[in-house]
Amino acid sequence: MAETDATAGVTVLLDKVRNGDPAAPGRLFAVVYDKLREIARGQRRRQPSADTLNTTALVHEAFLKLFGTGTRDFKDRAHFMAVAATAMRQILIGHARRNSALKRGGGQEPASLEAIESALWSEGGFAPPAAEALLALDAALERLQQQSERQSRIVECRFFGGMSIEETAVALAVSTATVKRDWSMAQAWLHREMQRELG
Amino acid sequence: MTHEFRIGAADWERLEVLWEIASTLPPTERDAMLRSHSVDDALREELESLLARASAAEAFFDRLKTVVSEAPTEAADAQGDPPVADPIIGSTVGHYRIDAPLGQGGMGIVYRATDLRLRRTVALKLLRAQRLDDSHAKERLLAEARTAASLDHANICTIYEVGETGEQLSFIAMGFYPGETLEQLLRRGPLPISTAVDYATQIARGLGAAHQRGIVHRDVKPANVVVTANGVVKLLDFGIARHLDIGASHDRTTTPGTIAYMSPEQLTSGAVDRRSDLWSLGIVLYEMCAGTRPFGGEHQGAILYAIVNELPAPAATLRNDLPARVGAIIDRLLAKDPVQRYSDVEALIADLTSSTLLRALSLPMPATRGLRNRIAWTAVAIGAMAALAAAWPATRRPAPSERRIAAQDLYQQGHRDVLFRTEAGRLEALRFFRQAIAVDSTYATAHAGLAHLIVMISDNAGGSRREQLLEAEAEARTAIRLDDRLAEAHASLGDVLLFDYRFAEAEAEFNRAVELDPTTPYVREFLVWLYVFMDRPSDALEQAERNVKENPTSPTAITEQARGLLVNGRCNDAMPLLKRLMLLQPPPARAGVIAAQCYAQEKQWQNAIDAVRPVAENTPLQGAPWLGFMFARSGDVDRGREIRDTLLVRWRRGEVGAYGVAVAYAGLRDLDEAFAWLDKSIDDRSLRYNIMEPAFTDLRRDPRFDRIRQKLGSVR
Repeated sequence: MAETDATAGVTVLLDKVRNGDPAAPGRLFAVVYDKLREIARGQRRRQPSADTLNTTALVHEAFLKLFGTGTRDFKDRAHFMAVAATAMRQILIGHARRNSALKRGGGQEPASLEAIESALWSEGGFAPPAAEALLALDAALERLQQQSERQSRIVECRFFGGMSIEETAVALAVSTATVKRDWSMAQAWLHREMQRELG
Repeated sequence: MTHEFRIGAADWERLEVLWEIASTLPPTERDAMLRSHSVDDALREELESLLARASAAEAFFDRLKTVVSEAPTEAADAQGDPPVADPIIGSTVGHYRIDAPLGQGGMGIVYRATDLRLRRTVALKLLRAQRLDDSHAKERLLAEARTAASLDHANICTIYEVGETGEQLSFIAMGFYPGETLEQLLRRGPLPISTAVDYATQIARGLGAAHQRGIVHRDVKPANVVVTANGVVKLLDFGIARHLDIGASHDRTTTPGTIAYMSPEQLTSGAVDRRSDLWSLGIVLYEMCAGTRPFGGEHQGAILYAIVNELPAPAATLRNDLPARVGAIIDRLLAKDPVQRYSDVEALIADLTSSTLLRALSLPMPATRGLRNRIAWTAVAIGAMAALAAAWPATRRPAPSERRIAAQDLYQQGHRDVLFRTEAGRLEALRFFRQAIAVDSTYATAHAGLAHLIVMISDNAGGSRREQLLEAEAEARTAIRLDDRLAEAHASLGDVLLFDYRFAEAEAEFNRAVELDPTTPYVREFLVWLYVFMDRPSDALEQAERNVKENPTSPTAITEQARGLLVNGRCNDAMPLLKRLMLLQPPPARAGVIAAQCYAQEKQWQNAIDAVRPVAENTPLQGAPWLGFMFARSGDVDRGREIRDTLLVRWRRGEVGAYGVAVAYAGLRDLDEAFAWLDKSIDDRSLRYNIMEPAFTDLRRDPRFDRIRQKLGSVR
């Protein structure tokens, strides 16, 4: 029963978001965020050794749990995923922060981007290099938001939400060409900013 | 954490547009596109720095995303054990665990591996062992590889260890650099010239470090060059190539690429020294610029024949934006006779990093290289060009067009915004223009460009401008005679007439230029000056605003917009523009004088002085009078007088025009002297449009100013 209530609740919320209710996005975000966290915790309980979060799978699972199957169209899905992408970002960054603090212990010099990059090819999951990279990305993304809100949203959708070009375009109501351009430019910009920060 | 870089909303939008255009263009066409959009240096730098890392950034985020969201358990559940294509994956060689294949090199396969002792990622090259059965050869290899391992240089791939594991395998453990090989980069087409020169310089630096220790690379080629995500070049496979490759080539189908980088002497006699590396670097530089190798052919035999016997097509014929200097460097590297190449890498690096070349490519300049170097280089480049012009007509296209091409090339080298901005740059451009005319005296554009430049240079030089204006007028009229429909020709005649105070004639020439081509460079800036001079402030502002609309990021256009606002009493609107301009290095001199006048109106004397101080430092002839003016007006009469006295001395020496002295006197409110010197400044043609600007308001209210006006109106 609770599940159905939740489903009805998000459906209504999603419609409200689409109709411009100013309070709706925040409430939808909270619901999605909780759901994602819940799934992520469950996933890690099942796989304590796998210290990774499959973002795309998580988002999909959350969508299914919140909306059931086959009820909403592509547009709704895209809007939902865009919200989930922001939630995912917070979850991942929180995770990275804990990981980074735990593993680094303090007093240590942060690794350079180059070092992180090369480590990413040899290590996986939430080993410190990935955590450092995510934290630096988060900081850079905040600065990107000051330059271009749209580009930062596109990065959230593409990177944290695992959304396709088309889904991102629909969710943010821009053309696919814009998404493609912004995505490539934002990656270059963020990479440069991360390098400035990390050296 | 300081993040100094933050660009305005308008610039960001522009950046997005430029990104979209540039990222669809091959790198070779980007420069031209940026030029045609008149992108200013800061934005251009930003765009280029982003473009340069685009693919590295994409790979990075791709990888990061995979790493973050990889669910190893799911994959294992679905597919059982991960597929193992190569049985060696997962095994250990020495204390290295082999993780994944990276690529196939000429001498064996390279793997990404983990150094189990030091817990670091390395690239591990496993060598084919069969040719190493000769123990003497093996010893030599190992000895040389160990020497190479001792090389420690930023542009050389670090070799950690050379070792053997029993009979079968020898290995080299080396630095692992995420990035692409130059070979991979070149598959996508040629590189921007500045990037090509940068990479060539880095390769040369790596080679230099090796040559110093007596190590010759012997196998410089794009596949042996890694470019990291930071744009750092790492040269691979030092001093190892010879023994292995030559031995192994008998039993392996060698791709045509392998000999394509070898020098003639390497192919004929096998006698190889450091100059052979220079040849190979020449081929690589050629390929980076032109996108294709100089000696092509489908068969080894054809390539070999070409390397030994044929002259390559000049790289400039494949790449029209190739500066002649780079072409000359390539030619010298690709001299068949090693004696005619550079004698050592240092000489090559000196050429690759000469300030002239760097400036031509808009690259930051090392501070140490002086004018003498540039002149020497100009001589070399011009010598090479003249030799080319002399040598070609006999064998190639007919003489006039060949000359024209050479002249155009020289003109293009001089005609660059970056050069026009500084005094030394303008003098250098002047030399190029004169050479262009020497090569082809019927080239109207060069005459027009020369006239414009002489006016600009005389504007900043001291003493009387009359002779220079006469020379410029002759050049401008020659240009018009050669091509009456050339907008620049009329514009440059207008420049001369403006500073000869023949305002009506100047206006007619400028209008003719705009009519022929509304985008004629600088013409609207000169129109602003003209209308300020003619005391038509609203016309000045109109021209300035149209100019900014056409060149929204040009510092000179924005400067003149600020002037237009200044003379219309709108300093409040001018100040934000001026503050932006002051961030440029060096700040435009004219902007400093405008800003100082705005501050002076508000009696913000310290700001006014600070605004002209850098002008006085960078271009003393322009700035010192204004520094004196602002000091005097601020109440520091002593400093004002001091500067006036200096100016008087310099005027006597012919170093400064009468106008400069007039400005200093005006600052001191010594109107008798100021008017006397203004009068003289009409005679020596040093008087400038600033007399109609706010700084001279009190003089304009004086009845004596009418005499100045009359005299200006009656020149000729």
